[in-house]
Amino acid sequence: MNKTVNINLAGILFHIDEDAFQRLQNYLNTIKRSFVNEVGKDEIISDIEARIAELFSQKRSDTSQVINTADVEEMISIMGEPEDYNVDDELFESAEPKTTQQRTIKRLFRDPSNSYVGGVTSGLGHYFGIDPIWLRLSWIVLTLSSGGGFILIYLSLWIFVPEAKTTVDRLVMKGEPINVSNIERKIKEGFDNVSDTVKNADYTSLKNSTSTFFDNLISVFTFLFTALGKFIGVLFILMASFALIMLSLSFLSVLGLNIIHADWLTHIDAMDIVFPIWIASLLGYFAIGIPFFFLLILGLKMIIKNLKSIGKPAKLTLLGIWIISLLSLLFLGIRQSTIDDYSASTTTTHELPLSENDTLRLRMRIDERYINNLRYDNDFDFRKNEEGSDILVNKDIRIYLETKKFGPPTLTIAKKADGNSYDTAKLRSEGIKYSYELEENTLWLNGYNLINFTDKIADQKVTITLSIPESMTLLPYNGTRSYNSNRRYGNRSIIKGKEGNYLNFRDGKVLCPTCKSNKTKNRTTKSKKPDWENDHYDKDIDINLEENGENFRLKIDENGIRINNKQIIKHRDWDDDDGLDIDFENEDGKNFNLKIDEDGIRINNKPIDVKIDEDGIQINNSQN
Amino acid sequence: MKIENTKAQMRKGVLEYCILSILKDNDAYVAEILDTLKSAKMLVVEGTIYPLLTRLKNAELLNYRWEESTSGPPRKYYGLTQKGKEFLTELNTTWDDLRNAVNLVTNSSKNKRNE
Repeated sequence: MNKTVNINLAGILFHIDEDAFQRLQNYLNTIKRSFVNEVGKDEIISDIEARIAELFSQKRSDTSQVINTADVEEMISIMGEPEDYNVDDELFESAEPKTTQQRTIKRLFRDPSNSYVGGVTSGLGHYFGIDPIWLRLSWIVLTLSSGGGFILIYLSLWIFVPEAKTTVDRLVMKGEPINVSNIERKIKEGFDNVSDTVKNADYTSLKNSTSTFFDNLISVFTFLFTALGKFIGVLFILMASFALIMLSLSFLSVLGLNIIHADWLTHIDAMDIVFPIWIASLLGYFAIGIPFFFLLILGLKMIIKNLKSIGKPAKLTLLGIWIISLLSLLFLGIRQSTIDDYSASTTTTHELPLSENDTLRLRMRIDERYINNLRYDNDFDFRKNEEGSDILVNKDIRIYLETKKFGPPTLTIAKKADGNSYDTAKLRSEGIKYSYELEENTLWLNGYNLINFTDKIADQKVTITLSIPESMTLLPYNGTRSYNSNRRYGNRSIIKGKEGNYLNFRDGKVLCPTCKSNKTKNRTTKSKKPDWENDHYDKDIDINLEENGENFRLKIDENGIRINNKQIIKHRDWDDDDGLDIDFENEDGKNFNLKIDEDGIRINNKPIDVKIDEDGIQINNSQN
Repeated sequence: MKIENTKAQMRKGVLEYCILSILKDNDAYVAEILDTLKSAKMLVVEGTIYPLLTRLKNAELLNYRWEESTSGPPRKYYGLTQKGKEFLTELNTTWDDLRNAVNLVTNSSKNKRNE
């Protein structure tokens, strides 16, 4: 008893029994494969099918008769073995074309009959002639050492390498010559244990067939080029998969890490971005990922000849997505660049209830909750406010001092922010929380700005103008130094650098009787350096360390260097252009004076004989 | 070197010329061409002819039309194109020259042997 199959050959229905069908299918597949590179291969195949149909029609007496194996065999004897279809031009080239005609084409297939996962490894084993167990071990090692990267390569091979479904595929996979006798053998051996029993005995025939010197040379070159191509292919695959993995990981982190609430994510959240971050990530993912995906496929194509194509629709779709992503990114980029096109400020002026002869103390208030170590004015930090919601903190605050002849002291607070429209900027400027407090004669100014998280980072800054009558005395505390402005403009008086002193004002000038000499001024005129350069002179180094009850204090200022209040180096006159002149006290309490100038080096006015030449530096100690 | 291979090659070399010659006077479908070739023992198995016909057609030496058949699938009737006719004329000359040349060579060697 035998099952029959209905087939359609050149538009005619045939009943064919299953064995005969299998035989016929393999025969046709083998022929198809031998015409892979032939122009008009489909037409040839349909012509052949039409002829087979004709032969079968002649064979059967009526349409219900079943085609059996004998009929198929007879047809094959008429039509010829698949290799007889080969009419290649090589018939003029070599005297022994038959051996090369049965060339063992070896291609990469997945071997489902000997698979653990997708049959990729056993397929590779057949391709390279290596026992799959070694390849499986290398997969494990490579996967572990690459942090899982090779899984992606495995997956892409799984997807793009075709499965060896037909007997012909199996023969090609193993590099055995495709002829009907081999196909038959394969079928007889049975599909399921084929891989274990067949030894690849036919490889060597190819190697033996080339014998002349030029043939060898050509094969060496071909091999080198192929090897180079495969190497580049492997490189492409590695590069592309690495990039894709990294890209996917970062994309997933952007999407998924909201839960963990990474610190840098808050920064991104706080940016004034006109579109949700996940859209930007997705677009970026496509814009960068798709080219790498194509690179991956190119790499795979370079090493695997019979790679399955992802198909034209898929290619076009990917290309479309890529172009759309690029255009969208461009569009969003343009929109993003307009976010700070407008600035607006909100100004409030408050009169300070002080009499015109009072002394006003100016101090900064630093709240423990918002205390920050922001280095630059445009830095932002994230804090929680009283209600526990996120807020942004910055310290972009400038204090200007203006003096006037008469009138009450006033405090003007200007809050400024950017936005992509004036209204947005205005709303944001109003959203800046800044406050001050007047305690008797002390004006406490906040040393920080609080910004609503929803207002995003939009260059928020606060400008404070303190306007006082000249009859008042001002004591700016040291803490105000980094906030005080040193820009001259209009009625402004510069108090930066004079913090910690009682200041009076006359005709717009700052009078500071207790300020340390006039050096600062002299230097300003002398060096003609920008103002900010002089800030360095105003900054003293004062290091106070306490460990195990022992104190260590290092102080470097205009007066020299002191350690634990003991003068180490006394400053004489840093500005003396005549040379270096410092006083130095050693551990015994003896004082030394070191002077280096054009006359040489002297210690305590005794010249030191120093000789400098190619031999080095020689010091003759005259004291001995 | 197998004698079968050499024989097959010699046949294949003139196969295109034979196919064109068969179609010189009247159109024919594949089975007719095959019958002629087979009876002349130009062809052992049929398979070879299909790629050849397609190649000749793609080279615009042949064209074909479809005709319904009573006993099987529709048949492709092949015929020579103008280009095919010119091609055939040229091949005729070549074949005559070749035949003469081969005769000359084989005869002279036969004659030598006979002498």
